[in-house]
Amino acid sequence: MMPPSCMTEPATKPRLLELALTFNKISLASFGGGLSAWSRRVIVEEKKWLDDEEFLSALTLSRVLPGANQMNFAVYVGSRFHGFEGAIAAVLGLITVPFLIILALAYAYFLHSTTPAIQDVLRGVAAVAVGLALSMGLKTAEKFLSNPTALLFSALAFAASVFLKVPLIAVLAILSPPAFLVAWRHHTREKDAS
Amino acid sequence: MKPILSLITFFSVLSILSIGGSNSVVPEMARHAVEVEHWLTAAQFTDIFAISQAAPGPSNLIVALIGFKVAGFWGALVAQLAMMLPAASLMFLVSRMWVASSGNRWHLALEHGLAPIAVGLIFAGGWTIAEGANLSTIGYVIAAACTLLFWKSNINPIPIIVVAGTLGSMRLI
Repeated sequence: MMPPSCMTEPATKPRLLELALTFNKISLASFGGGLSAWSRRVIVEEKKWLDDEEFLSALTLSRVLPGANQMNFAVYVGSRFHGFEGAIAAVLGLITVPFLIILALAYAYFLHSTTPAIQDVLRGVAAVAVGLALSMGLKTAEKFLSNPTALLFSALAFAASVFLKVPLIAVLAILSPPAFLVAWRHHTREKDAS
Repeated sequence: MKPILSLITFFSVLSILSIGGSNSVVPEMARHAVEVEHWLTAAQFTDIFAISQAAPGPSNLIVALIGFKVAGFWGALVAQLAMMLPAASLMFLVSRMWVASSGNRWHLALEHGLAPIAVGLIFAGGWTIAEGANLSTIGYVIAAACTLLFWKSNINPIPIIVVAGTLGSMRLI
C-alpha cells in the first residue's frame, strides 16, 4: 500500500527550457532575502511542481547544506525532474541574468566609482520582502492551526532563532529529533488504527 | 595566472564552508579579501556587499564582484563558478538521495516533523529582515499591509517591489 502523502507527481513534468525560464523569473524578483516566499508562490501555487510539504523539506535541505539557499533550491527542483541536466538548466536560469546585472554594477562601481543610493532602495525593498516572508509563513501555517504540537514546534523554532539568536543548524539539530519522533509515532498510530 | 588560481582555491573552499547560506561566510570573505590578499579596501567591501544585497539573484553574487576587482570579467566568472560548484554538487547528491527515499516511513516522518519547524524559521526570516533593514514607522506599515495583501491575494509582488524601491530611494520609507 502506498503511504498517504507520498510525493505527488505534478500533472505535467516541466521541460528543461521551462525550468530555466521559471528560475530566471524567481531570481529576478528576489531582492535582499525575499526568496523563499516568492519561490513558493511560483513553484507550489502557479506551477504546482511541488506540494507544500515537499517544498518545505526541499527548502530546509537548501538551508542546511552549504551554498546559497536559492541555488540549492534550484538544484533540488531541477534534479527532481530532469536529473543532472535539470539541475544545470535550473541553475543557469537562476544565475545568468543576475550575473550579467552584477557585472554591469561591478563595471559602474570599480571603473566609474558610481554608487547608487543602494541602502535607501534596499530599505524600501525590505519592507515588501518582510511582507512576502510573513505572508508565506501564514499561508503554510494555516494547515497546522488545528495541530497544537506542530504549532509548538513552529513557535520554538521562531523563538530560538529570533530571541535566543540560536544559529539555524543548532535550531534544526535540537528540534528535528523530537519532531521526527512525534511524526513517527503519529504514523504508527494511524497504521494501527487502519 | 596567480590571482585567478587564488580566487579558485579560496572560493571553492568557502563554498563548502557556507553552511546556512553564503551570507554566513561573509566575515571570513571580508577578512581574506581585505586583510590577507588586499584585493580591495574595507570600504569597498562594505559597498559591494550592499550592491550584492540590492541586486536580484542569489546572495553569493558578491563573489563575482570580488573576482571582477581582481581579474575583470574572467575573474568574476571563475570566482562565481568556484563558489557555486562544490556546494551545488553536494546539494545534487543529497537531492537525489532525498527524492529516491520518498515514500519511506522515515522520509515521511522527517518531512512531517520538519514542516512546522521550517514555518517557524520562515517567520524568523521575515522578522530578521525587518530588524536588519532599520525600517521607519511607514516601513512597518507597508510591511504589515504587504503581509495581508500577499496572504489573502495572489497579486504579483514585482511591481510592488519596484514601487517600494523607488519610494526608498526618495527616502520616503
